Amino acid sequence: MAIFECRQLTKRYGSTTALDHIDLSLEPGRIVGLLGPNGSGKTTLIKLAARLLTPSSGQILIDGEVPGPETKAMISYLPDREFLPEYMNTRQLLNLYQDFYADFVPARAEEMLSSLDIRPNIPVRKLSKGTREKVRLILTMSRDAKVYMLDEPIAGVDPAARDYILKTIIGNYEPEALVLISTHLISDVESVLDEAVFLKEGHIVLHKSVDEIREEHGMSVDDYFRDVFRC
Amino acid sequence: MGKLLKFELQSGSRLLLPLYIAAIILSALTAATIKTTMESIGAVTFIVGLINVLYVVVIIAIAVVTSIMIVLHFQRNLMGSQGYLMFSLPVTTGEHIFAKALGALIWTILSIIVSGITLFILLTFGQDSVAEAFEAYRYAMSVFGQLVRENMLTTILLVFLFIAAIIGSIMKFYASIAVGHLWGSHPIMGAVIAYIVFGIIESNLFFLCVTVSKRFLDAIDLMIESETLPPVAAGTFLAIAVVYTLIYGFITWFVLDKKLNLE
Amino acid sequence: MKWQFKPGLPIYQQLVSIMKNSIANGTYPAGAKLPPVREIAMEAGVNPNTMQRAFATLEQEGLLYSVRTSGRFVTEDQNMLNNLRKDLSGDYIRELVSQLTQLGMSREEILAAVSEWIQKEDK
Repeated sequence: MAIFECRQLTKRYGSTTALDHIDLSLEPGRIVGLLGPNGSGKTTLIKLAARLLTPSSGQILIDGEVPGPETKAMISYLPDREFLPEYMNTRQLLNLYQDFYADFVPARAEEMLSSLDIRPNIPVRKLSKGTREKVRLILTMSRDAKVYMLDEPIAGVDPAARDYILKTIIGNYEPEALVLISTHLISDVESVLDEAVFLKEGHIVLHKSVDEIREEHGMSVDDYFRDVFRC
Repeated sequence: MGKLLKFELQSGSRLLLPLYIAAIILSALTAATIKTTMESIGAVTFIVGLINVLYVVVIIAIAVVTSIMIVLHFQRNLMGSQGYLMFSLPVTTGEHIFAKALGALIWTILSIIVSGITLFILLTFGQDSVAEAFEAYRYAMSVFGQLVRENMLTTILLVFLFIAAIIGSIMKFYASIAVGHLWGSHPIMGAVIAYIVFGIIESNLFFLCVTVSKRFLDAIDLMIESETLPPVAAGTFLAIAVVYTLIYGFITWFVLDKKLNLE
Repeated sequence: MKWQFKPGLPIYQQLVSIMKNSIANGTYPAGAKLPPVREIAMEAGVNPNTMQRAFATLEQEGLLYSVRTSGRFVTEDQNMLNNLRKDLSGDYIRELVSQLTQLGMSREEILAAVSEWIQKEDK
């Protein structure tokens, strides 16, 4: 049973079509890469799933349900931007997440935060940019969600932090959960992915397992991507 | 929803609680020192004068800060980056708006109460005879109490009208901010324009009602001419305020639920 | 640090090679219990499904066996391990001979060069 499904999903902004009649079906227990150049519609697709946008036409279903409070409870979404209130400290953030998300596991978050030496009563605005990114990731991954959506989790991040982020994603893997990683930095995440979905100008041009791509084309997904998207 | 309200109150208290405490302390200080204003010299006069001025400043500040905070908080928490956090929470759009409006109402009422307390402190202890002050209060209370008892229904309706009017004006701000953000590149300018346009529509509607319905004119005349407002008029105004609030509430809800586009 | 992978081959196949080497060189000696899939996957920087697939392949080949609720273990079968060593060394030797042949050396020259190198190293 597909946990993430798009049926002829379309999103238009005025005269621009960001997503054009997308059909997609993703199963739980996979780590799927949503790959494509900037502007290809990756973030739009994720926002539609998170219900930060509503479709122009077509459907998107999470575990068979239309996006709403029930699906928001199932989805752990990490946007590619700052979103934490700056005046809050990590203890208050943990309380917030615990209040609103039944699947939040505070112990997991506390452990990760203390292993990174992030103290609980320092407000977010006093943390460095890199530390804030880690806090956001930790909060997102400390939930037992059915769907994780990570929008550009490693862009603009130093290599050590990148390794930490990928390790956290792998370590958090659950066979009942879907992890959707949207990125244009393919070579870094490739070894973590089960499947790759290539998005180009609002269309899905490829949806295959990473192993298939490597076997059929004898090259890495990164190389194949460059091939497909060569200008 | 309760959790959202808790968030609202926690968020507002950061700014307003210190202000409330400062106001009350300053009013106490002012009351204590106001007697000495007459008799003192030099530096003491200056300090006392300063305290008095500060008191006035803080009272005005409470009103201004509360209003600005209500509007700004809605904008920053829902339409800015924090919107990504808030709209990912498993609550409905309606719950978000309701929590914000209720929180804003609570802070408005609290601000009014605190200002009232400071005034009470000043009036009661800022003069020579505290006993006299309480005498005055007792007299005022009995007159006021009489008035209320004679016009119970109207009073109750007026209280609700007061609350509805507050929520209504809050909702109008929210609707302006929501509509404003539809203009992606200039959301704040958009909000200001929306607010102005809403005002224009309101005046035109009012004008329309006045010219079309004699009943409406009668109600206004009644209000202007009589000392005690009849319940029907009060009830009518309450109904209008409620409809007003519902309309702006719906506009806010519709934009945030169907047309949300955070950047 | 993540393990490095070549672009052209499926990752699980490369994991199989790496694991085979680890078994042969004693990193995971005979009878040793392997860490859980997720742990090795994290260390390698790969998807747990991929690591699982590699393990399944190794189990099929008889180099690993799993015991319900206990985990995965390296085989204690010395024959298997000796064959593994032979296969792996065969791969390396093939590689060496092929490279040296490309440099223009003959079979005899290769044998002589290897002996000489080993003797010099032992001194």
